[in-house]
Amino acid sequence: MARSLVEAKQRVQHCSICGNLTDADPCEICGDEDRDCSTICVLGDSSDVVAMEKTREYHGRYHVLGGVLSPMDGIGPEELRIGELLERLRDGKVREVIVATDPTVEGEATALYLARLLNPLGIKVTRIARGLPEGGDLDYADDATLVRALEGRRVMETDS
Amino acid sequence: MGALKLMKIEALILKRSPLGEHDRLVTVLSRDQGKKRVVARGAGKMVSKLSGLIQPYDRVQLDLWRGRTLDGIRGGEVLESFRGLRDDFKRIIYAACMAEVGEQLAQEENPDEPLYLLLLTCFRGLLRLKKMDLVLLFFIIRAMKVAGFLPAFETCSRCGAHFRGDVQFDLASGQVICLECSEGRGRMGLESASRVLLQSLRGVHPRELNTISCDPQRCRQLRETMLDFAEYHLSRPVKSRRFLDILD
Repeated sequence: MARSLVEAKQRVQHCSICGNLTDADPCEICGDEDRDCSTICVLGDSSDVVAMEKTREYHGRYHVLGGVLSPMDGIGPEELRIGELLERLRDGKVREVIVATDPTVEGEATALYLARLLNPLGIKVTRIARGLPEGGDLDYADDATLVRALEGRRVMETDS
Repeated sequence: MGALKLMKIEALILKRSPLGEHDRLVTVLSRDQGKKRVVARGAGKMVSKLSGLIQPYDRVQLDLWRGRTLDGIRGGEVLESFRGLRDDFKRIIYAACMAEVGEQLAQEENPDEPLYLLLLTCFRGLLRLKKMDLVLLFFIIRAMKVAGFLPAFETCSRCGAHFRGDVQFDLASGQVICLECSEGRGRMGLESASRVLLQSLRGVHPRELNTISCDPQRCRQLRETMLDFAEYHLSRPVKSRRFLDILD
């Protein structure tokens, strides 16, 4: 057990491209030629990559910031891997950056900061939707979530 | 087993931070009991009803259970949502700066209704007004006054003379000193127009903030001076201050 822990500590590192935790550099996702390199999904932590991968719906690349902006804790852009993200966008291959930080005030601040930074570069910046959890009861949802769900409503289209 | 002791408080959510994997430690400024730190169990889970209740800057009514060390949130309702402060980068920064100064000035379990009402007024002002620098200046001047540091801008605190030109602001006393009386450290130069602006901000009604004109450069300089003043008396840096520089 102790040997395994030491080995894990020695082998696990941050991917030099996306910042995800990995035992090989670059990580499996960054090394996969089949993944869409025109889209980057920006996340706060490595654990968020696992959650996104479980959906099996996203086939682009990732970028892990290593946290989110937090004005009251003094965590600014310099403490996050934002410079590395800008470096990745430099070659012009990326057309869309999906900001999938947590739906908290810090996550929102990070998303808004990235939009301010990337929009002038001509890159499409999108934010993941917010609202009701799948399979949940409407009457159990809190007011803030319901308001978000109402804001994000979509037109229902039928075939006929 | 004794009955669960419950109580209701009206409060502004100042900050929330992780506590374990799913719990959140929430710092609030309550109307009747001053600053409080309370636990929101399971609020980190997506399906938690409490997560929407503890959004920063919202005015809420919280139902609390009494804990041995920390009280916990059992439920409650949002009385006034400040969602607009969380949807705009500039407003997030200004609100964070006010919440941080307010949190540092408030004392735990020590009722401070004037500070509560001031912060509430300024959050409303941030939503309503475009001159956010003025709202922040107004907040710091009034908050320092509530905390017992009353900045005076009319006459020299040393010789009592009415000011005519540029002056010096003394961080330690929060008083303005004429250039003749000025000596020593901890003083910052104030142009005459800046002193007049601070003086009017000290007496203005929050509703009239929009009628005050100030060029952005002067506003920034005064903001820095007032934040220096706050930091001097808080004996700690205002961490969100560096984000204001990003906005500039």
